Amino acid sequence: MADKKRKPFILFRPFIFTGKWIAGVIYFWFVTILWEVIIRELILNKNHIRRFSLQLGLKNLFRYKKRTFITCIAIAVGIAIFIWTDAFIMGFEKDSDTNFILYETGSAQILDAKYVEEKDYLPLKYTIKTPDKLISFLKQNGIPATKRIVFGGEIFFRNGSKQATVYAIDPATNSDVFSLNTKKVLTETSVFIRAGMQETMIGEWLADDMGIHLGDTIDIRTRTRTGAFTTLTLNVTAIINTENPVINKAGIFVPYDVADEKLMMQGEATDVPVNLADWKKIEKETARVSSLIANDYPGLVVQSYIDLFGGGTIMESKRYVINVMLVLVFVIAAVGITNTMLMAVFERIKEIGMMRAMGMMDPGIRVTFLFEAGGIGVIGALIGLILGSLLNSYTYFIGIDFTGLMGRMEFGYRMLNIFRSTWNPQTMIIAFSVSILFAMIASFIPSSKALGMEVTDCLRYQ
Amino acid sequence: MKKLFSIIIIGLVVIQGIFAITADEIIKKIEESENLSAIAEGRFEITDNLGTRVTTFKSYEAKNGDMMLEFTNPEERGQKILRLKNEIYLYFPDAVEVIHLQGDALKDRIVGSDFSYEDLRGGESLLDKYTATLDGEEVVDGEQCYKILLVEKKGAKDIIYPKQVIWVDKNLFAYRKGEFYSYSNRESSYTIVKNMAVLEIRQIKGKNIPFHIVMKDTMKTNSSTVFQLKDMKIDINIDPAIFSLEELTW
Amino acid sequence: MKLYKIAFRNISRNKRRSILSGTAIAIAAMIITILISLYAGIGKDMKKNIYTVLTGHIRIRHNEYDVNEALNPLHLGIDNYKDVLERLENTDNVEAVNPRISFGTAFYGSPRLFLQDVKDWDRFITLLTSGNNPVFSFLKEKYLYVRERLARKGTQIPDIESIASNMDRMELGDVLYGINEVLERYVLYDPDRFAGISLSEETLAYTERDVPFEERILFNRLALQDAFPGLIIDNPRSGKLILGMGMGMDFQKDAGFMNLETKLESGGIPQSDREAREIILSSGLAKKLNASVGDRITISTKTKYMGMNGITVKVTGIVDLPVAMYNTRFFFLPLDTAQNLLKMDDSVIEILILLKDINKMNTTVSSIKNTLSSVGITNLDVRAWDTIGVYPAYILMLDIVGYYVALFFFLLGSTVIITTTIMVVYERMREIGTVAAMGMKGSQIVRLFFLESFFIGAIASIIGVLIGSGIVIPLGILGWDWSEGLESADFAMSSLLKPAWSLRNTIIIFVYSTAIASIASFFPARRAAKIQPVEALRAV
Repeated sequence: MADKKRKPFILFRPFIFTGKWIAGVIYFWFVTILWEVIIRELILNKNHIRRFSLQLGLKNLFRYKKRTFITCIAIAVGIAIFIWTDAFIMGFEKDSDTNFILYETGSAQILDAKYVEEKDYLPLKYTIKTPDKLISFLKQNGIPATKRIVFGGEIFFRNGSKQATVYAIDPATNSDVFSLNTKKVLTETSVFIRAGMQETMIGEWLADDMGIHLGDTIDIRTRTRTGAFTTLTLNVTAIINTENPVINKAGIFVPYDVADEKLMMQGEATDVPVNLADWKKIEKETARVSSLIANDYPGLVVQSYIDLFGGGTIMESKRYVINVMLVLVFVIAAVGITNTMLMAVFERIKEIGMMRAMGMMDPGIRVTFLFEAGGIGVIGALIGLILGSLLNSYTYFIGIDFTGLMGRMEFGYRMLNIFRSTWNPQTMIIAFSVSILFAMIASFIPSSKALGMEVTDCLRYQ
Repeated sequence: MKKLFSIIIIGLVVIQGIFAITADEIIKKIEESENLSAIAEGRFEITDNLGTRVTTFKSYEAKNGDMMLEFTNPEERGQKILRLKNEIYLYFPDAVEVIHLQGDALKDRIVGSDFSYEDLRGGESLLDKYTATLDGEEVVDGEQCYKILLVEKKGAKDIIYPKQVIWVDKNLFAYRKGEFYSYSNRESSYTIVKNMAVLEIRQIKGKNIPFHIVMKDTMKTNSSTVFQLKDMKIDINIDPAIFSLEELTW
Repeated sequence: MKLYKIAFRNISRNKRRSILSGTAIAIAAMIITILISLYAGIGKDMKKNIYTVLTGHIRIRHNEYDVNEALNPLHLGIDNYKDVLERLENTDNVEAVNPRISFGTAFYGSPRLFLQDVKDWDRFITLLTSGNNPVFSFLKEKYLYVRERLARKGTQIPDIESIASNMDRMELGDVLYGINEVLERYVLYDPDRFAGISLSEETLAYTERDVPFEERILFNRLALQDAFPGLIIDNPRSGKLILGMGMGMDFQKDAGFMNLETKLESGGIPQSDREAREIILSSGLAKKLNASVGDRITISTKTKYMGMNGITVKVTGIVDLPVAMYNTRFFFLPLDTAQNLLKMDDSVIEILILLKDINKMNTTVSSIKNTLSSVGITNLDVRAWDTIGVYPAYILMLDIVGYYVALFFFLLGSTVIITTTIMVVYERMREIGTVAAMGMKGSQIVRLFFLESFFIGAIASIIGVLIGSGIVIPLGILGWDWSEGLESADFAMSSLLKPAWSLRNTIIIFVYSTAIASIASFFPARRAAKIQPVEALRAV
């Protein structure tokens, strides 16, 4: 629990949270100046001079090949690593989220408010009374949904028994929300459980643990809603191997109608998982579903997968560590870009003096340098994007395999042995534009300085 | 004359009993003989995959069905289970509060045995919850028995086993054997989960009391609970304070 | 003139250039220092939270316990643990040992009043002691009776005269104990006593019937709420099943492990006394229960014999544990109290060992095994903590991620340093041409540039590393509060993170940055030295 008396040490925190704003202000400031320069240039000068600045800038770009190259490298490596790091981290999070959503919870669930409080004990008394009506209502509003009964039970096979959480799923609609019925998930000759059939589907690790094979018959003993014993004798028609260790280790699935009948649920459901396409805006989406059902279904609440995981463990806590790392990567990359650029322009103050001595107007010189820096930025950033994408392609398509190291372990994260990164176009675009911006700012400062100096001083500048 | 008259009356009752006894009557008869005030001492012998343990107890039962069971073995000495009507309370010597068992906690096993606290909940007749039918006669352990099917009544509350089959000794009107079923998705609709065998019935003051019972979870190979009474006194006066929560908490 | 003198002169001659390239190197070195310390801090912290709380450096258990762990087999304990403990304490390299019993419990959702359920104690005490209020006069009268009854059983609670608002919490808890005994037994409500008080519907429903014993306290709470609005709150525990993880331990031997004494938010360490029955709650758990120091709580659990046992314990302290996962579940009690509750006699579940030198883990493990087998104890499993359960995978994962992070940062840092240095050399082509034209040899030029880069690199790295350390070391002492982000985190990470600065890493970073800078100058300088002075002079 957060503790008030402990003084938060807030060295980095404002940077992380206000970093966006600082960057925004700098950006705004710089764009204003840029426009001012360009507009002045357009209004005050004739077209050919502007064109000349552009041409000179580009020419300079290729004239100083080595300098351009080195600066580009600084930018490229910075961008590549930033993109890759981000993709790595996002990939880790996304995989865990995805595996949680697709196999365990759905992106959000509709539950009875009281059920949420006692969720750990899997009570059957707080239910959704008319799940089918709710599901078709959601469908009309473009939200795919399915129903489940989640209950605790003891499974028996030969001489062994084990406590487990059993998911009664509706085979007809389950695939609208979950990804259990896929070739990748179903092992060997597994057949997904069918409605009305006395069939069950279990996680691979659990099956191995208890020595269960396809075609075996297992017993699940539980209690009906009113507390009477009930035993489900089911044929194992599917053994699944998902990318979610929790499901592999303890997942047991039975057809909804079988459980409904034998647990005396009278067509009710403990939860209605929904498929909200946009996971990134999950809070907004959850709120939307909440308001949608608020009138007709009082007493029901909508919980996003983050709530269901336990108050944002995936998102917030790790995001914190990750933000710090990204900020640090960003600082190094930015310093690299700025510094190389600064150096490149400072070295050429003499050149600026020369241009001025030859009668080139200040705005023209400024624009020339901005174009040159922008050019370097674009080239460097492009190389960086390509380099980053190449690196990322490897971790995205092939991934890093931890098999053998991790074994069948499970600790919170819903991740399996192969770790894959992701594509994050947002970061790519931001990194791309910010690096160009930095290159331009970095050239702007020394060229401004040179323009403020006397021409003779410029020429003498070392 | 008077004597003869009473003999005839008794004879008529017996004859009627033999010819037209129904399942309901059998159960009523057993429950009547169970309705007694008693003080008993006994033991549980519990076997599971962790081994075998023995727990001893002393129990007090009032005519109205209230019951108090006090453990006497060193491990659980002083612990008490109090049943008042349909409620279960636990008293622990080191706790200042009496714990009122509710909800899921009732499903817990008593000292790890195959009996759960909810099995203790009584107060009601079996006939309130179940429809009883006589399903012929069978021989159990060499004794002629009535076989009675008990199937839950629609809407009956607190049913743990939706179906039971009991074998009642035809001469003693005491249980010889029992099977407890759960619902099932099989064609038979029910699956056996526990079975009970009465190995010894003793007669005390004309009442037939099961003294030695073995309870087994049918799905677990190495699990069983033996319930054995050592001594029992019936129809005696018991201080009502024994069944008082107020006394228990002091 | 000596080459290094020229190098120095060159550095100071073009200050701007030197500062620019130096800054790049310094910042790279600084950030790497910060990051590595931060990461090491996270890793160290997670490991520490595992081995101080859960496993020790070495853990000893009954060798069949782990296989049966899911069944909570308390009978598979370490018998005669004191004997084992003594032998362990005398083993080489053993810093500390602590016997432990961990077990799951349920807290009874008691209808009794807890100290924090009474919102206004001053008012409560005034009402009770002044005797002006008919309801409290009745309460007082019964309190005195209960006090006498309890005294007969050997439990002392304060007399009415000694009740004052400046009582300490433990004494106040004793008073409340007496009050609860009254509220549980007697019905406060009486038409005369409650004359003029408007009752809520719920309370009225009780007044119309004979309230059985078990409902009296509920009735009384409602009646008090009606009669004295704002005095007490609704029962926050009613009907709730609150689970906790109990940890029986030797508080005297806790130093080096959890150091609970230093984490106390209020109250103190429990007495090691079977009769005292005292516990410490973690603050998150206390919040869930609305309990505070002085409260009496009833817990129940399964004993070694698979039966149930319940015990009422007094809360003597609240600790604030760094890991959110622990802080919402754990409570601590003296070993003998736990043994009493669980009927464990003189056995414990595990003995945790901390080592003086963690590098000698394996030798210590085998010497402990030898010691134990030499006295005929063969049923114990002695394990280094990094071979227990999920922890090896956990640590491995942590380390692998750590290597990647370090790799990324070194790569990025190196690029920055290399591009800056190469830039500097290229910018000075003309200068190279000049010195070459003046007769300086190629090898000398290379060495000159190498020296320059080396000096800039060394100075900048030192500055960078120092600034980095300057940020990290105070953070390491003060800690960096992440609690906002980690409120309900499900892994062993503290919400107060302390970066782990290490001299070794800092030196490595310093040497690395300097070396990269120096080496980076080598290649362009060598190329420059090879070209003709005329060409070099022509270079722009």
